[in-house]
Amino acid sequence: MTPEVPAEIGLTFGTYEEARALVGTRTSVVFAERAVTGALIKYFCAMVRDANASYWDEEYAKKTPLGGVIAPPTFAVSSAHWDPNYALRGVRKIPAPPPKPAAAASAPVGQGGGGAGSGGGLNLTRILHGEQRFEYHKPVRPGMMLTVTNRAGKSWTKEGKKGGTMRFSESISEYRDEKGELMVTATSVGIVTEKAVQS
Amino acid sequence: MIPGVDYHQRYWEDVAEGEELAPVEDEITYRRVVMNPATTWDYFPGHHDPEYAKAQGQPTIYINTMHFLGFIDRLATAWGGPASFITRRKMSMRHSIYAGDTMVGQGRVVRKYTDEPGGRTRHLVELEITVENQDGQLCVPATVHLELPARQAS
Repeated sequence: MTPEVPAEIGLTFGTYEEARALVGTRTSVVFAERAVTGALIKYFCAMVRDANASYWDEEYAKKTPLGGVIAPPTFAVSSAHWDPNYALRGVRKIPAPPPKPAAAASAPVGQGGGGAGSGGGLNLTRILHGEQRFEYHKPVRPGMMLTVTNRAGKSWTKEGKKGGTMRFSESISEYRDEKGELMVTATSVGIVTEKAVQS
Repeated sequence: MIPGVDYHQRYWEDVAEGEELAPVEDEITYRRVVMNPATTWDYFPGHHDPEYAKAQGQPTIYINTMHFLGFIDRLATAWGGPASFITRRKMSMRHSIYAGDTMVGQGRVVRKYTDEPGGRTRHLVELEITVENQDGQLCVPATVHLELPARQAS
Protein backbone atom coordinates (compact mmCIF):
# COMPACT_ATOMS: atom_id res chain seq x y z
CA MET A 1 0.00 0.00 0.00
CA THR A 2 1.25 3.44 -0.83
CA PRO A 3 0.72 6.12 1.81
CA GLU A 4 -2.32 8.20 1.08
CA VAL A 5 -2.65 11.98 1.36
CA PRO A 6 -5.99 13.80 1.25
CA ALA A 7 -6.94 14.70 -2.32
CA GLU A 8 -7.50 18.35 -1.48
CA ILE A 9 -3.79 18.75 -0.70
CA GLY A 10 -3.00 17.80 -4.27
CA LEU A 11 0.56 17.39 -5.36
CA THR A 12 1.35 20.93 -6.35
CA PHE A 13 4.31 21.51 -4.14
CA GLY A 14 5.82 24.46 -2.34
CA THR A 15 9.40 23.51 -1.58
CA TYR A 16 11.58 20.76 -2.94
CA GLU A 17 11.62 19.14 0.49
CA GLU A 18 7.83 19.10 0.53
CA ALA A 19 7.83 17.56 -2.94
CA ARG A 20 10.37 14.93 -1.86
CA ALA A 21 8.20 14.07 1.11
CA LEU A 22 5.33 13.31 -1.29
CA VAL A 23 7.26 10.74 -3.35
CA GLY A 24 5.47 7.42 -3.13
CA THR A 25 2.24 8.96 -1.90
CA ARG A 26 -1.00 9.01 -3.78
CA THR A 27 -4.12 11.05 -3.18
CA SER A 28 -7.42 9.45 -2.34
CA VAL A 29 -9.61 8.87 -5.39
CA VAL A 30 -11.68 11.88 -6.38
CA PHE A 31 -15.06 10.90 -7.82
CA ALA A 32 -16.86 12.97 -10.41
CA GLU A 33 -19.87 14.94 -9.26
CA ARG A 34 -21.54 14.48 -12.64
CA ALA A 35 -21.16 12.59 -15.88
CA VAL A 36 -19.43 13.67 -19.07
CA THR A 37 -22.10 15.01 -21.42
CA GLY A 38 -22.34 15.73 -25.13
CA ALA A 39 -23.06 19.38 -24.42
CA LEU A 40 -19.84 19.89 -22.43
CA ILE A 41 -17.88 18.16 -25.19
CA LYS A 42 -19.42 20.52 -27.76
CA TYR A 43 -18.63 23.61 -25.66
CA PHE A 44 -15.02 22.52 -25.52
CA CYS A 45 -14.84 21.85 -29.28
CA ALA A 46 -16.56 25.13 -30.12
CA MET A 47 -14.01 27.02 -28.02
CA VAL A 48 -11.07 25.48 -29.86
CA ARG A 49 -12.94 25.42 -33.21
CA ASP A 50 -12.53 21.70 -33.67
CA ALA A 51 -14.93 20.39 -36.36
CA ASN A 52 -14.02 16.69 -35.91
CA ALA A 53 -17.16 14.65 -36.74
CA SER A 54 -16.47 12.18 -33.91
CA TYR A 55 -17.16 14.96 -31.40
CA TRP A 56 -20.23 16.40 -33.10
CA ASP A 57 -22.17 13.79 -35.06
CA GLU A 58 -23.63 10.82 -33.16
CA GLU A 59 -25.10 9.24 -36.31
CA TYR A 60 -21.71 9.28 -38.01
CA ALA A 61 -19.73 8.23 -34.94
CA LYS A 62 -21.96 5.20 -34.29
CA LYS A 63 -20.84 3.73 -37.64
CA THR A 64 -17.09 4.16 -37.03
CA PRO A 65 -14.85 1.86 -34.96
CA LEU A 66 -15.20 4.44 -32.15
CA GLY A 67 -18.84 3.36 -31.83
CA GLY A 68 -20.26 6.73 -30.80
CA VAL A 69 -19.41 10.32 -29.95
CA ILE A 70 -16.18 10.70 -27.96
CA ALA A 71 -14.64 13.59 -26.06
CA PRO A 72 -11.51 15.27 -27.44
CA PRO A 73 -8.37 14.07 -25.62
CA THR A 74 -7.95 17.25 -23.57
CA PHE A 75 -11.48 17.05 -22.20
CA ALA A 76 -10.54 14.75 -19.31
CA VAL A 77 -8.05 17.25 -17.88
CA SER A 78 -10.60 20.07 -18.05
CA SER A 79 -11.80 18.57 -14.81
CA ALA A 80 -13.29 21.64 -13.12
CA HIS A 81 -16.75 20.60 -14.25
CA TRP A 82 -16.71 17.31 -12.43
CA ASP A 83 -13.84 17.33 -9.91
CA PRO A 84 -15.06 18.86 -6.62
CA ASN A 85 -11.43 19.35 -5.52
CA TYR A 86 -10.34 21.17 -8.66
CA ALA A 87 -7.89 23.87 -7.61
CA LEU A 88 -9.73 26.81 -9.07
CA ARG A 89 -13.13 25.97 -7.60
CA GLY A 90 -12.22 27.72 -4.37
CA VAL A 91 -10.87 24.76 -2.41
CA ARG A 92 -7.44 26.29 -2.76
CA LYS A 93 -6.85 30.03 -2.69
CA ILE A 94 -5.99 31.73 -5.97
CA PRO A 95 -2.59 33.33 -5.36
CA ALA A 96 -2.11 37.08 -5.46
CA PRO A 97 0.05 38.36 -8.30
CA PRO A 98 3.75 38.47 -7.47
CA PRO A 99 4.95 41.81 -6.03
CA LYS A 100 7.62 42.29 -8.72
CA PRO A 101 7.11 41.68 -12.43
CA ALA A 102 8.17 38.17 -13.38
CA ALA A 103 9.83 37.24 -16.64
CA ALA A 104 7.48 37.80 -19.54
CA ALA A 105 9.23 35.74 -22.15
CA SER A 106 11.69 33.35 -20.53
CA ALA A 107 11.36 29.65 -21.14
CA PRO A 108 9.58 27.80 -19.72
CA VAL A 109 6.67 30.02 -18.84
CA GLY A 110 5.99 30.58 -15.14
CA GLN A 111 2.31 31.29 -14.79
CA GLY A 112 0.51 28.55 -12.99
CA GLY A 113 -3.14 27.96 -13.59
CA GLY A 114 -4.93 24.98 -15.03
CA GLY A 115 -3.72 22.15 -17.15
CA ALA A 116 -2.82 18.57 -16.67
CA GLY A 117 -3.76 17.92 -13.11
CA SER A 118 -1.84 20.98 -12.00
CA GLY A 119 -3.33 23.09 -9.29
CA GLY A 120 -3.46 26.81 -8.83
CA GLY A 121 0.08 27.04 -7.59
CA LEU A 122 1.73 28.32 -4.48
CA ASN A 123 4.57 30.73 -5.14
CA LEU A 124 4.08 31.29 -8.84
CA THR A 125 7.28 33.25 -9.34
CA ARG A 126 9.21 30.12 -8.48
CA ILE A 127 7.09 27.38 -10.01
CA LEU A 128 7.39 26.75 -13.73
CA HIS A 129 5.58 24.27 -15.91
CA GLY A 130 7.96 21.85 -17.56
CA GLU A 131 7.06 19.14 -20.01
CA GLN A 132 3.61 17.59 -19.91
CA ARG A 133 3.05 14.06 -21.19
CA PHE A 134 -0.28 12.38 -21.81
CA GLU A 135 -1.20 8.82 -22.65
CA TYR A 136 -4.69 8.14 -23.96
CA HIS A 137 -5.68 4.53 -23.35
CA LYS A 138 -9.37 4.70 -24.26
CA PRO A 139 -11.63 7.53 -25.42
CA VAL A 140 -13.72 9.38 -22.84
CA ARG A 141 -17.43 9.19 -23.75
CA PRO A 142 -20.69 10.86 -22.75
CA GLY A 143 -22.17 9.20 -19.67
CA MET A 144 -18.83 8.31 -18.08
CA MET A 145 -18.33 9.12 -14.41
CA LEU A 146 -14.62 9.85 -14.23
CA THR A 147 -12.34 9.52 -11.24
CA VAL A 148 -8.89 10.99 -10.80
CA THR A 149 -6.00 9.99 -8.57
CA ASN A 150 -2.78 11.97 -8.32
CA ARG A 151 0.53 10.52 -7.33
CA ALA A 152 4.04 11.90 -7.13
CA GLY A 153 6.53 10.64 -9.69
CA LYS A 154 10.28 11.20 -9.79
CA SER A 155 12.13 14.19 -8.29
CA TRP A 156 15.54 15.43 -9.45
CA THR A 157 17.70 18.57 -9.54
CA LYS A 158 19.68 20.43 -12.18
CA GLU A 159 21.83 23.59 -12.06
CA GLY A 160 20.06 26.40 -13.93
CA LYS A 161 21.56 29.66 -15.17
CA LYS A 162 18.97 32.21 -14.06
CA GLY A 163 17.26 30.74 -11.06
CA GLY A 164 20.05 28.79 -9.31
CA THR A 165 19.38 25.14 -8.61
CA MET A 166 16.27 23.92 -10.43
CA ARG A 167 14.32 21.21 -8.71
CA PHE A 168 12.09 19.02 -10.84
CA SER A 169 9.19 16.96 -9.63
CA GLU A 170 6.66 14.88 -11.54
CA SER A 171 2.97 14.75 -10.72
CA ILE A 172 1.02 11.92 -12.32
CA SER A 173 -2.77 12.02 -12.69
CA GLU A 174 -4.69 8.89 -13.59
CA TYR A 175 -8.19 9.30 -14.98
CA ARG A 176 -10.46 6.25 -14.86
CA ASP A 177 -14.04 5.49 -15.79
CA GLU A 178 -16.65 4.35 -13.27
CA LYS A 179 -15.52 0.73 -13.68
CA GLY A 180 -11.96 1.66 -12.77
CA GLU A 181 -10.61 1.27 -16.29
CA LEU A 182 -7.69 3.62 -17.05
CA MET A 183 -8.59 6.26 -19.65
CA VAL A 184 -5.84 8.88 -19.42
CA THR A 185 -2.46 9.15 -17.70
CA ALA A 186 -1.19 12.73 -17.46
CA THR A 187 2.32 13.46 -16.22
CA SER A 188 3.27 17.02 -15.42
CA VAL A 189 6.82 18.08 -14.60
CA GLY A 190 6.91 21.00 -12.19
CA ILE A 191 10.08 23.03 -11.73
CA VAL A 192 10.89 25.04 -8.62
CA THR A 193 13.76 27.53 -8.85
CA GLU A 194 15.80 28.74 -5.86
CA LYS A 195 15.25 32.39 -6.73
CA ALA A 196 12.32 34.16 -8.37
CA VAL A 197 12.85 33.96 -12.11
CA GLN A 198 13.75 37.32 -13.65
CA SER A 199 14.72 37.83 -17.26
CA MET B 1 -24.08 15.21 -42.32
CA ILE B 2 -23.91 18.32 -40.15
CA PRO B 3 -22.84 21.48 -42.02
CA GLY B 4 -19.38 22.71 -40.99
CA VAL B 5 -18.39 19.37 -39.47
CA ASP B 6 -15.34 17.64 -40.93
CA TYR B 7 -15.81 14.08 -42.20
CA HIS B 8 -12.70 13.68 -44.33
CA GLN B 9 -10.77 10.54 -43.36
CA ARG B 10 -7.13 9.66 -43.96
CA TYR B 11 -5.84 6.07 -44.02
CA TRP B 12 -2.48 4.89 -42.71
CA GLU B 13 -1.43 3.41 -46.07
CA ASP B 14 -1.76 6.82 -47.74
CA VAL B 15 0.65 8.61 -45.39
CA ALA B 16 4.33 9.20 -46.18
CA GLU B 17 7.03 10.08 -43.67
CA GLY B 18 8.02 13.72 -44.12
CA GLU B 19 4.49 14.71 -45.13
CA GLU B 20 3.41 18.14 -43.90
CA LEU B 21 0.10 18.68 -42.16
CA ALA B 22 -2.16 21.49 -43.36
CA PRO B 23 -1.25 24.49 -41.16
CA VAL B 24 -3.95 26.04 -38.97
CA GLU B 25 -4.10 29.73 -38.06
CA ASP B 26 -6.32 31.06 -35.34
CA GLU B 27 -6.78 34.69 -34.39
CA ILE B 28 -6.84 34.91 -30.61
CA THR B 29 -9.01 37.82 -29.60
CA TYR B 30 -9.78 38.72 -25.97
CA ARG B 31 -13.02 36.84 -26.38
CA ARG B 32 -11.22 33.69 -27.50
CA VAL B 33 -8.86 33.84 -24.50
CA VAL B 34 -11.82 34.09 -22.12
CA MET B 35 -13.79 31.35 -23.92
CA ASN B 36 -11.53 28.62 -22.59
CA PRO B 37 -11.94 29.53 -18.90
CA ALA B 38 -15.67 29.89 -19.60
CA THR B 39 -15.75 26.40 -21.12
CA THR B 40 -13.43 24.61 -18.70
CA TRP B 41 -14.01 26.70 -15.55
CA ASP B 42 -10.27 27.36 -15.34
CA TYR B 43 -10.75 30.75 -13.71
CA PHE B 44 -7.08 31.42 -13.01
CA PRO B 45 -7.03 35.25 -13.23
CA GLY B 46 -4.16 35.37 -15.74
CA HIS B 47 -6.62 34.01 -18.32
CA HIS B 48 -9.33 36.64 -17.86
CA ASP B 49 -8.02 39.61 -15.83
CA PRO B 50 -5.57 41.89 -17.70
CA GLU B 51 -4.62 43.71 -14.47
CA TYR B 52 -3.60 40.44 -12.84
CA ALA B 53 -1.64 39.39 -15.93
CA LYS B 54 0.19 42.74 -16.00
CA ALA B 55 1.04 42.40 -12.30
CA GLN B 56 2.62 39.06 -13.25
CA GLY B 57 4.84 40.89 -15.76
CA GLN B 58 2.81 39.69 -18.74
CA PRO B 59 1.59 42.19 -21.39
CA THR B 60 -2.02 41.04 -21.02
CA ILE B 61 -4.14 37.89 -20.55
CA TYR B 62 -2.91 34.69 -22.17
CA ILE B 63 -4.51 31.40 -23.23
CA ASN B 64 -4.45 28.46 -20.83
CA THR B 65 -2.75 25.11 -21.27
CA MET B 66 -5.98 23.34 -22.26
CA HIS B 67 -6.45 25.75 -25.16
CA PHE B 68 -2.96 24.85 -26.45
CA LEU B 69 -3.70 21.14 -26.04
CA GLY B 70 -7.05 21.42 -27.78
CA PHE B 71 -5.45 23.35 -30.65
CA ILE B 72 -2.71 20.73 -31.07
CA ASP B 73 -5.32 17.95 -31.10
CA ARG B 74 -7.42 19.85 -33.62
CA LEU B 75 -4.41 20.21 -35.96
CA ALA B 76 -3.60 16.49 -35.66
CA THR B 77 -7.10 15.06 -36.09
CA ALA B 78 -8.19 17.59 -38.74
CA TRP B 79 -5.37 16.03 -40.77
CA GLY B 80 -5.93 12.43 -39.64
CA GLY B 81 -9.72 12.50 -39.82
CA PRO B 82 -12.49 11.82 -37.31
CA ALA B 83 -11.71 8.09 -36.97
CA SER B 84 -8.12 8.83 -35.89
CA PHE B 85 -7.25 8.60 -32.19
CA ILE B 86 -4.47 10.36 -30.28
CA THR B 87 -2.68 7.75 -28.20
CA ARG B 88 0.13 9.91 -26.77
CA ARG B 89 1.11 13.53 -26.68
CA LYS B 90 3.88 15.53 -25.02
CA MET B 91 4.28 19.28 -25.00
CA SER B 92 6.30 22.04 -23.33
CA MET B 93 5.32 25.63 -22.64
CA ARG B 94 8.01 27.98 -24.01
CA HIS B 95 6.13 31.18 -24.63
CA SER B 96 2.58 32.43 -24.18
CA ILE B 97 -0.09 33.35 -26.71
CA TYR B 98 -1.65 36.64 -25.63
CA ALA B 99 -4.94 38.26 -26.53
CA GLY B 100 -4.34 39.95 -29.88
CA ASP B 101 -1.89 37.29 -31.10
CA THR B 102 -2.44 34.82 -33.92
CA MET B 103 -1.74 31.19 -33.12
CA VAL B 104 -0.11 29.23 -35.96
CA GLY B 105 0.01 25.45 -35.86
CA GLN B 106 2.21 23.38 -38.15
CA GLY B 107 3.07 19.71 -38.23
CA ARG B 108 5.02 17.00 -40.01
CA VAL B 109 4.96 13.20 -40.07
CA VAL B 110 8.30 12.05 -38.66
CA ARG B 111 7.58 8.32 -38.34
CA LYS B 112 5.09 5.75 -39.53
CA TYR B 113 4.94 2.54 -37.50
CA THR B 114 2.80 -0.23 -36.05
CA ASP B 115 2.69 -1.78 -32.62
CA GLU B 116 0.71 -4.58 -31.01
CA PRO B 117 -0.36 -3.84 -27.46
CA GLY B 118 -2.33 -6.80 -26.16
CA GLY B 119 -2.14 -8.52 -29.56
CA ARG B 120 -4.08 -5.81 -31.42
CA THR B 121 -2.20 -4.19 -34.32
CA ARG B 122 -2.31 -0.39 -34.23
CA HIS B 123 -1.36 1.69 -37.25
CA LEU B 124 0.35 4.83 -35.99
CA VAL B 125 2.13 7.97 -37.08
CA GLU B 126 4.36 10.21 -34.98
CA LEU B 127 3.78 13.90 -35.64
CA GLU B 128 6.05 16.78 -34.74
CA ILE B 129 3.88 19.82 -34.12
CA THR B 130 4.76 23.43 -33.38
CA VAL B 131 2.54 26.24 -32.18
CA GLU B 132 4.02 29.65 -32.98
CA ASN B 133 2.77 33.20 -32.70
CA GLN B 134 2.41 35.62 -35.63
CA ASP B 135 6.11 36.58 -35.30
CA GLY B 136 7.26 33.00 -35.80
CA GLN B 137 8.21 32.66 -32.15
CA LEU B 138 7.94 29.07 -30.91
CA CYS B 139 5.37 28.90 -28.11
CA VAL B 140 4.70 25.18 -27.73
CA PRO B 141 6.58 22.29 -29.33
CA ALA B 142 4.66 19.02 -29.20
CA THR B 143 4.89 15.39 -30.30
CA VAL B 144 1.68 13.52 -31.04
CA HIS B 145 1.22 9.81 -31.72
CA LEU B 146 -1.90 9.29 -33.79
CA GLU B 147 -3.62 6.00 -34.57
CA LEU B 148 -5.12 5.92 -38.06
CA PRO B 149 -7.53 3.44 -39.64
CA ALA B 150 -5.92 1.07 -42.13
CA ARG B 151 -7.52 0.00 -45.41
CA GLN B 152 -6.19 -3.51 -44.87
CA ALA B 153 -7.09 -4.35 -41.31
CA SER B 154 -4.54 -6.94 -40.22
